[in-house]
Amino acid sequence: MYENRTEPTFDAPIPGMSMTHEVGARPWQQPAQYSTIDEVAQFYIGQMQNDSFVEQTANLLETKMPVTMIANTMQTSNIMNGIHNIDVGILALPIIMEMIMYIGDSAGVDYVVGIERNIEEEVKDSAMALAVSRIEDAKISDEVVVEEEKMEEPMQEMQEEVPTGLMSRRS
Amino acid sequence: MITNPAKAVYMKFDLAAQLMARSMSSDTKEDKVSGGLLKRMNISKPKEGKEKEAEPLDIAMRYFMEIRKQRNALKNKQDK
Repeated sequence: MYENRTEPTFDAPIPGMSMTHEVGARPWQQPAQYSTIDEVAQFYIGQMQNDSFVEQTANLLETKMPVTMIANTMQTSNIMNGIHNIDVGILALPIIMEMIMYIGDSAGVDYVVGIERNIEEEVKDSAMALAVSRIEDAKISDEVVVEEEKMEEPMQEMQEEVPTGLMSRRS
Repeated sequence: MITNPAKAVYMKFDLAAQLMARSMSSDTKEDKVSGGLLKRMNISKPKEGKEKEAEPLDIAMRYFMEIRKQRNALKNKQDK
């Protein structure tokens, strides 16, 4: 999501933005409304049994929006609103996803879960990694050959040199 | 860095649920083969303070398994 970004983003929070309000003025800086996974799971299950929620979710699933994305969004927004903390939210994610899929199944929607493996992409990545490593190996071996050639040349010159000084050893 | 927490957590829960379902099915088979009175008594004995000792992960897993059971039942009904 973020690693494939080519252009810089300007809608991210600027450094020090969190200090523009008093500590505790934001909902996520207060103690969470629900602190146990039991309470949080019941909160989500109760919320998801609402008719309007079921209809909205079924519509979203029909647009092929992945279940993981819906669950992530719900969880993050509830952390932001101070309903629960991040740790409990992470634990509640599979429960939320399973409930969304239950809604999708009961509505007869052919939904996208978002955990499917993209084999083509994985193969492409591995092929790319292999090609890069081969190129690097080839570069290294070329450099070694060039260095060997360079080393050999002065040795020959050294052998050809004949001592000519007065104090030189006679051969 | 985890870019998609829902995917990472769901895959772990899914795998754990599958393993638990498998182990539970194998346990019931073993019980049928060698179900002594003592064993049955131990199984039926209520475990005190089990709720207090339950870890958050276990509670989450229990909810997950329960919803999955309902989903499977719904799927079976739709298939029929």
